[in-house]
Amino acid sequence: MKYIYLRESKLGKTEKIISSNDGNIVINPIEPVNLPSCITNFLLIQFKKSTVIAPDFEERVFVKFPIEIGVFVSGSGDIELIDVFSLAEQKYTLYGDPRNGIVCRYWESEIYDSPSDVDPLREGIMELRIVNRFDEWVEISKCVLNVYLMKIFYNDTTVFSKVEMEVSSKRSAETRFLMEPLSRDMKKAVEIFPPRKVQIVAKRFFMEWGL
Amino acid sequence: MIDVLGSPVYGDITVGEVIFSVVVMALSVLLAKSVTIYLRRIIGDRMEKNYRELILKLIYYLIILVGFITILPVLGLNPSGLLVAGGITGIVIGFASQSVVSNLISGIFILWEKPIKIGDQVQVGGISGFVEDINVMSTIIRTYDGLFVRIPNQTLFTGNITNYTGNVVRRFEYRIGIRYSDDAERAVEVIRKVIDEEPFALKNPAPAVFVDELGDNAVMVSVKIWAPVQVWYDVKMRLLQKIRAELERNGIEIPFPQRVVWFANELELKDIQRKGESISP
Repeated sequence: MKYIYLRESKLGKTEKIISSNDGNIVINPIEPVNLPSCITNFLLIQFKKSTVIAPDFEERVFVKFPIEIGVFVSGSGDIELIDVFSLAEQKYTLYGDPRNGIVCRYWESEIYDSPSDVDPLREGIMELRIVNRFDEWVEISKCVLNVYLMKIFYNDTTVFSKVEMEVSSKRSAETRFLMEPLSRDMKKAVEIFPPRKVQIVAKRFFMEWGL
Repeated sequence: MIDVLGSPVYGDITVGEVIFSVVVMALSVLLAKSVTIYLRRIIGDRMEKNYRELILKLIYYLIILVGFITILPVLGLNPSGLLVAGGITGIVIGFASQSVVSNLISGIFILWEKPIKIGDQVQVGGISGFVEDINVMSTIIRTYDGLFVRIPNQTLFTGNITNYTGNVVRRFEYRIGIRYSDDAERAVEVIRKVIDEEPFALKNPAPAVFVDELGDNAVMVSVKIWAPVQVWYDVKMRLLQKIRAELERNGIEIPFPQRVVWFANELELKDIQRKGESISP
């Protein structure tokens, strides 16, 4: 059997022929590094106001992150991504220096004390647990994440991801995603970078070029 | 048939032993090729192409070397004796084939120092293109026109190498002229907006847009943008057209070269024109 997948909007037109006897179309939020083309696996969230954290203090805040929507075909065998689109603005930035730094998807967000209202087709809510292990006050203005192993959960109203950021000095920290949904009714999104497809599975990202 | 196989070729070495050696070497090459093809398929994209190819080459030559060492005793050659003879022979060959050895040593240093890797965009000795392969003796460049260029490693090692993709980001620049009658501040604002809307024009390092020169025919605006190396050329091509269109949409034009000429004897010219008008019927 042949099916036509067609997406037409002001973002562009995508048309594909799907040849299969059975199978499903799965649509869910995916790691936001695929558009306009996938050149990196890092996401940098820039806080509109930086936060200052006391030594040995733990803080739980919420920030927003961009959403990309992936369309998959599934059936017998593997699951295959056939289309990605997004309503969120796309921008990239450099974290670090031009020689050794990394290109990251850029996103600006306010810091919230509780999950704020968002358009779930455009933005998701990220719970950020910041732990200052350093024995001095630390100012944090950004969070850089390796989206390999990003865990995204979603329901009809919210897209959610949870991150832990461990500060080790005034200029460095480690970030990692946690496998915890915001509520029990949330489904885990299909990942486009499952561990077996990733070259090196780094569970943590070391932010060494400043906070 | 048995007599033929048992007949000596040289010394005690028989035809059978020579055929056996040839078969072992052929099998070694076949095995080396099969193993590298299999490993290339297994490794796939899990490893950087540069390292993958280096490891596969090492495995390939190692298997062939094992096959070669295996047949040496069959052919009546003592490997330990070869080592002694090899030292002397090596010196002789080294002098005789200096450039070959030089290329070999340079190749090893290039693989070690890694100024370039497979897939990089480089310029070496006036040749620009993609690095297709780095061999022990030479490096293969595919030019932007699609030409195959083999550069001896000695030339590569001793020459200047510009690696366009050596860093993760790179900067490009436009110089855009606008009319003196246009609002330069507005033009800078329009250009900044276009850059902001381009995803791969990096937020940091921030783009720079400023009036750079008051030229003969135009106010020159300098635009400097950083972009990821993978896409910088696409961004450069795309953005200039967008900036031009957006400037025009805002009534800001790129002027043609022009020169204002002042006549010192303007009055006389007007008199001549007047006289011409009175003479003409």
